[in-house]
Amino acid sequence: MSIGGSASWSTQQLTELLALVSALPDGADVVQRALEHTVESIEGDVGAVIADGVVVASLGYAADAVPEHQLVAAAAGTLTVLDVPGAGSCGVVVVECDALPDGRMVLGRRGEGAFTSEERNVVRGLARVLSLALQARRTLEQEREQRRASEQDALHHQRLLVTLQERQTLLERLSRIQRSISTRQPLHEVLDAIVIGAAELLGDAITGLRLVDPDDPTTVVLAASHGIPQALKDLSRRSRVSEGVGGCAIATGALAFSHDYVASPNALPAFVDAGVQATMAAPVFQGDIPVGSLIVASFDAGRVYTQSEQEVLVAFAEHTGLALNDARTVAALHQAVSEATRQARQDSLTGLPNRAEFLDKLTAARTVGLPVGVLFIDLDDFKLVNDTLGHPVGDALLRVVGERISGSVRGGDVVARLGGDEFAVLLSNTADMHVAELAAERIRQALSFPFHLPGHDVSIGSSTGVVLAEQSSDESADDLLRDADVAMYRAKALGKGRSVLFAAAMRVDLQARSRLERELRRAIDHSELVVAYQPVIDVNRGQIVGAEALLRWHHPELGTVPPAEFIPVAEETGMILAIGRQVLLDATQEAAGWPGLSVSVNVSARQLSDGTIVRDVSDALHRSGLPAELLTLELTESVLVQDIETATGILVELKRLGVKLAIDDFGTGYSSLSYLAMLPVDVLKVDKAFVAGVGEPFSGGPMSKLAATVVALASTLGLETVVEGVETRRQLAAMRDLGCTLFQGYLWSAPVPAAEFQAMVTLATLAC
Amino acid sequence: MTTDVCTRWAGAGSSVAGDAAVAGREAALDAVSGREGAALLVVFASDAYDLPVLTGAIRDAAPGVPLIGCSTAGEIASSGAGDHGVVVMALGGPGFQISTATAEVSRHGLREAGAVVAAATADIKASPYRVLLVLSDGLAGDQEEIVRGAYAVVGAEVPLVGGCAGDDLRMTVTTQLLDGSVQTGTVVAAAIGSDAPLGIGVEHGWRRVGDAMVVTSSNGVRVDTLDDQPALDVYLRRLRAPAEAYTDPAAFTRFALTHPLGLSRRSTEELRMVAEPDFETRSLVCIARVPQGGLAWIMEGDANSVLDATDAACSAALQGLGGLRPLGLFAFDCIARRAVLGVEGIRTEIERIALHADGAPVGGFYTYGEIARNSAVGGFHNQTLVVLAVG
Repeated sequence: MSIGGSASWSTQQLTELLALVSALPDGADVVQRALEHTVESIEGDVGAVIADGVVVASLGYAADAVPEHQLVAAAAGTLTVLDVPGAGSCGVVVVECDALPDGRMVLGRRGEGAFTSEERNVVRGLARVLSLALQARRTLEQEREQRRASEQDALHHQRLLVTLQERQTLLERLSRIQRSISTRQPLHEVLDAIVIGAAELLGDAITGLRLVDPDDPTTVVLAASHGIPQALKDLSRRSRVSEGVGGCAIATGALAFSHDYVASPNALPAFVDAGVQATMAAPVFQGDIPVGSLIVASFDAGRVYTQSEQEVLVAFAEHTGLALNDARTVAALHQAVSEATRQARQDSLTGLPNRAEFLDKLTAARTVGLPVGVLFIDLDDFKLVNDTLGHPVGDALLRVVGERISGSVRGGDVVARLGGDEFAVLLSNTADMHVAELAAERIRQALSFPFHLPGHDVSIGSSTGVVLAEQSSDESADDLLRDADVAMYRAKALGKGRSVLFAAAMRVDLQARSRLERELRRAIDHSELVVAYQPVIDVNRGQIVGAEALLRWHHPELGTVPPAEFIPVAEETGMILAIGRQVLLDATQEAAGWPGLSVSVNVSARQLSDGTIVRDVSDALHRSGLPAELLTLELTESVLVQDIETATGILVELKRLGVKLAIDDFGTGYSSLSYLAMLPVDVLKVDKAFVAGVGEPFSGGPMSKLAATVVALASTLGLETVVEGVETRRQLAAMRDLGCTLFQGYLWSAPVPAAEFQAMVTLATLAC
Repeated sequence: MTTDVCTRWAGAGSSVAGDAAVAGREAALDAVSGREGAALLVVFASDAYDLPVLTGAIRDAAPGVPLIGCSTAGEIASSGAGDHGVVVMALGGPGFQISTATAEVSRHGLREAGAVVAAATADIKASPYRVLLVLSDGLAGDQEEIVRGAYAVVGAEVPLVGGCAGDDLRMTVTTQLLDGSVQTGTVVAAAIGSDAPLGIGVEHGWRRVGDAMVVTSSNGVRVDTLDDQPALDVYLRRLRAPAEAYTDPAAFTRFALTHPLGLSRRSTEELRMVAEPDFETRSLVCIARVPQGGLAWIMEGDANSVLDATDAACSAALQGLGGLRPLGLFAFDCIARRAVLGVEGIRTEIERIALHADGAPVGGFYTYGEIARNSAVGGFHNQTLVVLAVG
């Protein structure tokens, strides 16, 4: 299918704005955003929204130079050209904006050329979308206000909620119609959708669309209808253009209605006989010319069309105009917003609601004041499944997990996949701890049975966080989900495979952590993180032979923050990637200025798994000009054993660059000879923990024996050793006795700023 | 190379010296060329340099002169385009009024950051001709928002022009410069007031390939589905992308450079550079927002169409000078155009720009996105050449 330039342009603008306004967060300025979109749509220069003679939003003028008088005059139609600084004379188009009192949107485009009728239509449609969005928002605010004012008036809530849902339905309806226009459904189907949509929303028995017959402009034909009895339809298939309330709408180009149809001068006898009591009609335009009317009629005596119902009919009539215009264009679209919106709310893997949909459902439950329970479920060690068996197996597992969870809850509960291996359950209408615990236990059990997946049987556990909210509590959906998440983390920390009920104290821990995270981000921006250097001494030569680069954080208020506190946060948030990269750059740059000394830099688990470490190291070497053999990368053994195969691959690549590799903290964790022999490492760092006990009175205990073993092991494998954390001469002597020559520790120097280290090297007169 | 017209002047200097301090000093001295009254330095530098050292050297060579600048994906000078170098443009003489500003995106948000730097135009109100030269962190998110924020402050009265900083296609971190400060995640800007006209030209030179697709699901700069299919798959399949683009992010980005998306607009296509793939969610990540519900085409260009656009952009910019000879030209050229043109092509392109400049100095850089809001709102571009002619 091929599509021309302006074809479908109009419907596209509407769908884009619909998508835009429905995605805007609560506090956003809908008017300003819609104005921007509209001006951009017609490639205009300026725009303004005027309500009650006051400019409420504008665009294209310097912030302090909005020409209120000019814009108000243009809105009133007394000025047809705007003089815009920087753009010169601009032609103007003005449309009504119903949701605002005496609301109008004014748009200007440079050059005084006229806007085409298609452009006018689009602008009118965009203003309509804005009005609907504003009204929906107002209803929502009203509802919230009411809820604050009175928690008892449940009936009222329901009524408002109905209005709200109606609005939502209206937006959905319109977007569906736009979809059928843009997908080039046959015109009659589009028109049918319009009359049915109007009938459903307004709840009237009869809907009809009458269009002027192009061959005989004095008559109108019934182009689409809903609910008109066949006999009546046959009678009214063709009628005079001026007849009835519909005729009145065509003649005046405005909405017309009669609340007492029988007494109306415009009443049609056949419809009076059929029992119609009230009717309303909105004109349908093509360009600026009325070409028909959309009519609804009711058999109920006392039927009164409210302001908002009148607006609904006008909206549908305008869409009819769009459909008629569009039907004449040649091109076609295949998809549209409502489908996309539905998909955007569904997790594509499991078919379950996604996070957004879950939060909406939770919000809805909270809005009507129902007690709820939320379960936050995270699979234990799911990453392992993905990494070892591959993503397709992981995906298959997630699908079955979704099914099992869904099978473990009650009919009215909502199961969602939040992302990754996280699921959530909304227990509706209960905040009973017992019920929640039972549900959590059922889910835990359901997930504890082996999963029979194609080619693999997999067993996996799950951890669950539970939070309950009574009717009276005021936590938002986001709060509840976050609290459940916090409780889930606690469950993990307690050893996985269990569920934990949320308690407020857990949040305090989290807050402290998130403050640290915030501060750390700020610290990165403000260069509070600096690299310090601790000398490495060759005691046989009595010389500094290198240094270990260590990260230090000097917080302006908290003072020095220990790495043990902030490094885990940096790891978890991924900030470590940027930090690590910077440390590499700084350290290599610095070391390039030293006289042949080496520098060692710590590499974190995240850096290793991120996959960019090889490039980062090569980049740092390239930029600094530091010979590769003078750079040592230190890795902790716990990092390496997490995924030994991948790690080995990366280490081999790093070795190819020519750098040295060291195992840090050896012996403190998983120490395994087999992997140590397998990895291409050059240096073993003997941890402070081993050194602390040696050489002291009563030494000869288990630690000092371990130290001897580690050193012997290194020697067997042909590895260099560097002894860390040496603080006393006794420790030094004892480790020297074991044959060690390279040392670092407070005995010589604490980690010092780069300049100080440089000075130290220059002096190069250290006593050992 | 320098040009003197009455008392106002523009100069350009460039260097590819390996040492940052030497390069900075050479380029700055060349740009100023000993003239009095330097009012603004605009620096385009490779981040292969130690940028604090480079900036320090420039400031030492031209003390106290306001400076803005950014890291690049290649630099443009009268003498040609290059990598791992630095270009300094200088404006001077009593006919210029300058005010510079910076804003952190993380602190203000994109839109507000645009508004904050645009406030600098308040200082040049007295000038008859004005422009806001904006250099932003191209990796900081939806750049359209920055333009909207700036437009909300200056309106149609002050055109916006500039580009997004680059990092030689590593797509990790870009740098912005303001006076002595070396920043990332910011927008820097210079409000330039001039006694003589300023002209802006914008052209891209790409055309549609194949049928239109509907953006069935997108979220900001991320396109999830096209025609209801995973966007990444549709994109790779339709373009018969090379095998490595299916698995290697870097290979993908190189390939995507020459195949932007075009969004249907009233009279043209708005281009979107496809920056990276998300192999996990099968999405495309673009440099600016791609609205859901819209139509999109895959676009392609060749050396001829792209070079024609170069001529058109230069001519349009010069036309804005109302017959005056240019003092200097700024060029903000998309890295993607460079990829299409190749080494020979960019040599030709720079020669053509130099020809239009008619002896006036030229300076600029290869960008991650271009800014030009001259007529009609919406002023963020991709895959485009933006030329600012200073009259």
